[in-house]
Amino acid sequence: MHQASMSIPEYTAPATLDDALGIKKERGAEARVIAGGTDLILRMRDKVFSPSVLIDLRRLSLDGIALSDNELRLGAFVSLSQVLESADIERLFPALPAGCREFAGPPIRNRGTLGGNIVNASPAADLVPPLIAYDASIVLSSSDGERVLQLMAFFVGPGQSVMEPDEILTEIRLPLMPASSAATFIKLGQRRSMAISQVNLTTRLSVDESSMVSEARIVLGSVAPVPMRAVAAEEFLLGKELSEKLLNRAAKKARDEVTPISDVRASLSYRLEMVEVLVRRALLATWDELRGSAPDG
Amino acid sequence: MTESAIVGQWTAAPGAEEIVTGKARYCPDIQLPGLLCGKLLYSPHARARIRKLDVRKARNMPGVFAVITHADIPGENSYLYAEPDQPLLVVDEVRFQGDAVAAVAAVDERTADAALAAIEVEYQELPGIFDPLEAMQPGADQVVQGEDNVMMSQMYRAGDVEAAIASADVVIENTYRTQWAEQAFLEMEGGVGLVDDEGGITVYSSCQAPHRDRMQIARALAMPESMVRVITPYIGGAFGAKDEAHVQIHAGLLAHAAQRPVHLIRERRESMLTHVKRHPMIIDYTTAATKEGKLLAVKARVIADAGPYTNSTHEVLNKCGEFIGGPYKVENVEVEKIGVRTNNPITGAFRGFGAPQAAFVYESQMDDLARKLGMDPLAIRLLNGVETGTKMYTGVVIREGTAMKASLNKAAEMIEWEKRDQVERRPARHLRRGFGMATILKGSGLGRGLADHAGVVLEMHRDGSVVLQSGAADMGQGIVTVMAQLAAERLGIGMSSVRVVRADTAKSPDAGASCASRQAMVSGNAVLEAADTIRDTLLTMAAGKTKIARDRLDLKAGRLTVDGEPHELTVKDLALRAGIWGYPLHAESLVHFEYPTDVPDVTYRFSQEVFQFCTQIAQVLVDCETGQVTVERLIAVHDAGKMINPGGVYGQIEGGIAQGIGYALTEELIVKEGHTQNPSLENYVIPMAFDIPELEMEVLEIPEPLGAPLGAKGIAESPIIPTAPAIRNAIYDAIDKPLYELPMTAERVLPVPDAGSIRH
Ligand SMILES: Cc1cc2nc3c(=O)[nH]c(=O)nc-3n(C[C@H](O)[C@H](O)[C@H](O)COP(=O)(O)OP(=O)(O)OC[C@H]3O[C@@H](n4cnc5c(N)ncnc54)[C@H](O)[C@@H]3O)c2cc1C
Repeated sequence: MHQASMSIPEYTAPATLDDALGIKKERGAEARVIAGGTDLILRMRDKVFSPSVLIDLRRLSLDGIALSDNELRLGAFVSLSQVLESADIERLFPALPAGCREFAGPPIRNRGTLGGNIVNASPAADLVPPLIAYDASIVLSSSDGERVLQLMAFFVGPGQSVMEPDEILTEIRLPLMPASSAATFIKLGQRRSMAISQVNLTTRLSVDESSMVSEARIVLGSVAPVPMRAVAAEEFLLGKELSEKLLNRAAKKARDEVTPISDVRASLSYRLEMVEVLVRRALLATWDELRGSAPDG
Repeated sequence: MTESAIVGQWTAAPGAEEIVTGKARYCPDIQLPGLLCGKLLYSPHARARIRKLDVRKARNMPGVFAVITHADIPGENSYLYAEPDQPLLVVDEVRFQGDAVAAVAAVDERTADAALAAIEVEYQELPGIFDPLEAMQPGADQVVQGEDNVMMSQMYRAGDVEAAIASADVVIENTYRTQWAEQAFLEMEGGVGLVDDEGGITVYSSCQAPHRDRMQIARALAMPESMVRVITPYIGGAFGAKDEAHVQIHAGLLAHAAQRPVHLIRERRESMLTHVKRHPMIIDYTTAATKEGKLLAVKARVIADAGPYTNSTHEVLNKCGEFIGGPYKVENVEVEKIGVRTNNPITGAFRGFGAPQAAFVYESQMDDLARKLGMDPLAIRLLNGVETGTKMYTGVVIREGTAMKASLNKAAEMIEWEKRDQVERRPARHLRRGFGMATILKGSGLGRGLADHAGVVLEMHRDGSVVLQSGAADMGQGIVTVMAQLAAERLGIGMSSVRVVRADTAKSPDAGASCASRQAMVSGNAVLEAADTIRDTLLTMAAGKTKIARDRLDLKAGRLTVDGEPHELTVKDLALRAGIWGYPLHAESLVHFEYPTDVPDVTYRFSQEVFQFCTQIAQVLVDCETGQVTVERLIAVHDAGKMINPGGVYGQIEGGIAQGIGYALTEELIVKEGHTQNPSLENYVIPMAFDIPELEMEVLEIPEPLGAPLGAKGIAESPIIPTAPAIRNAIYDAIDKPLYELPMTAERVLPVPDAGSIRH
């Protein structure tokens, strides 16, 4: 049971992205980016990672939030507290700050970053469902250039992603949502703060002029090895008119798509049950909001 | 008595500023030249035979100053709380995941880790015994060879239970289960050992019982106790888990072996795997009553999973059985108390010593009974409640029992109990609201027949300042504040003029353990006695000097007073004069808790006779689809006898309720085949601020006549006790589903009986 003391690696805070990428190129997985450190330090303590060098990107201005005509760009080092302070995000992507509000407590929210929450690749990461529901894409940079991919395609398994050892996550991009779109975040934990999600999710619905569902996102965490979309349930909703009955049926479908496990936080059967309950609640709340925000009230 | 200037006032703890600014020194903060890092090698198995234990490699590593195994212990290789059956370092068989097999001291943490890794241990895993019911069967494999797995089996009977049950109109029988609960103190167990100038051993110990620690360290070192000194630095919580020794004995052994100072601090994971937990219990309970709701009989069988070693299992089961009938008049009581050895975690003291388990059961039964009879939960409790003068089934006569019904009535008034049906019960389709109450009693003090004493040394200096030496450990519960207040009050000086020396066995007389809600009473009395001696000297001197009659004089706010009016002479003047004229302003006292002799029929061993009564009422909101329970309101009415430091009293109540909410809803060590699955505060779910409603508290001050300083009695344990059953009864009220197992997690709350009405 004994926990060995953590070895303290070398630390560097390069002045340019090229310098940082250069170190990554040279040392690969031996070099780890440290953002807020709120996941990394624990992994190092538990010897899951033993990097020989920590790269701090704080000098690279990766903590910007920039709104353009068609998208919002968030630097990988944007902290959760910054998300909560941004009026643009609150207005355009409210499910993301909703996730931040139920995330840990103020000290962790001050340190923890969006990039860290993504790269850590925990199936329970709270900000990944809202980001995926908003069709986020991410930018991975290496000294060979950069690639942009859908966040959904990033995750491979618990703690595993498609990121190469020489890559750094630099940016998260959210396309602006259609006017008649709304989203809801729900987190279920064993206590009201500082909880690891038993189930977390974000639903997003858009409707067309004739009130038919034109877009549906049902993104779930903690119920599969990676954050997942309940694709069959989403497809089932497309082109249909919203009704309570319809949303109930979609929730049942979502339940059939997830593959949770039992662990110390919840049993498999509880998680299954909760997926149905919470997807239904989230969809109903999303529908409520769509009705509330519609021009005709 | 004149009005109090200090007692009864909200008072900051001496050292409060140091604590909140991070200056206070706890064990991990102690720095000494040449301090080594100590570590223990714990068993990875729940049960295994040690085939080989070779420490030679580790011993020869540079930077390693000591590596010890059982063979290197000069004296007794055991802890000694009640029975010496838990080894300090295992000889041949590990019996739970927290058994230690070797200890090292090295120049730094990394070297200590490397030394641990270099110790060669060959284990032969053995099939463990994990189910207490199986362990009790005749012929079951023995956890400790040659010892019966049933380490304790006691039957207590009062009256004729079978006849009472046969004559009853209603009989309610249920089986309850409770969980392993973790104390989750902030500061992990720690000890810092060093060799002193005379070759003796000094240990800084994060503990509740410094003098018992001294005894245990001395017997392990085969040293006279006079050569061992235990000092308590600041202590960051204990809740019973530091009543028994942990690493401080090993810190002494390592310092002795290395002849250098050694610090030994557990990490959270080690801490959670090794120290005593609250006993999980299986309780079969029968309540018999008349159709009017009068209790006729209580019959209980309590089976406690003790883990492999005795620890405080006897004490815990003793208290569980003593209060198994609750604060009710019931003459026919039978309780069988069984402690069983297993290869699960060790168990022992945790706030309330078995009383929380008992209360969960008797207060749940009370609501089940009320329902069966169609009675109001408040009415049935008032009907059966004890009063001043009630003779309990144990034979103990309650000297002051007004608070039993007073707390019930007050709590009911605060939440408007009779109007609770006017509150919205279905605020949403899937939400149900409910109300539940629980009322309890818990004794203070160690119990009749046990040595329950405390001493203090008090000295006033020539400038009127005072040093108070006491062996009572302050783990944060505030005994230092209470003692300083009592001394200041009696000597007419300010709190800043009293310096309390934290328990140090070289300076402080034995005050016994800080447990069983006893210190404010026992050490409190000792302070009053010592202070009165000095006060007497000062006043006698003042009478001589002023030629005013002694009985017109008093000390207050730093001055002599005459008929309550300030006189020009100050306490300082008097102290200086005493010094010059050679009057000793020095007093020592040793106070025994005196049990009344006029109760010839006490039949329950080690019974307590001063009672903490309290009532809590919970209002909960249950989410019928997720099973989540929100405690919306919590009313708590407690009797403190007399509040010496109101801040301390309210603090104890708040902290106890917070722990009680955790005990009720989320806290549970999940143990599979002896292996704890959640040894971290990440997954052992204690409540946070958002999980605790704004508490509505009321403290009754009904002076305690029996051996209580200024009428004050203990308050530390009672607050945690009614919380779980109050919440349980509120959940029952909300969703019509009685629960019989703790904790009442969301998954246990589901399925909700009338869920059909909320489905879509
Ligand atoms: C007390 C506590 C409570 C918590 N509560 C929650 C919670 O409620 N919900 C939740 O989802 N999580 C929670 N977490 C986990 C953690 O805080 C979050 O995942 C956080 O977002 C991680 O961000 P960070 O900046 O601290 O990441 P770090 O720990 O710095 O990094 C995490 C991982 O990502 C890598 N990394 C970070 N940034 C980059 C980058 N730009 N490029 C490449 N790799 C990178 C690091 O090398 C590391 O492997 C909690 C943690 C703690 C300690």
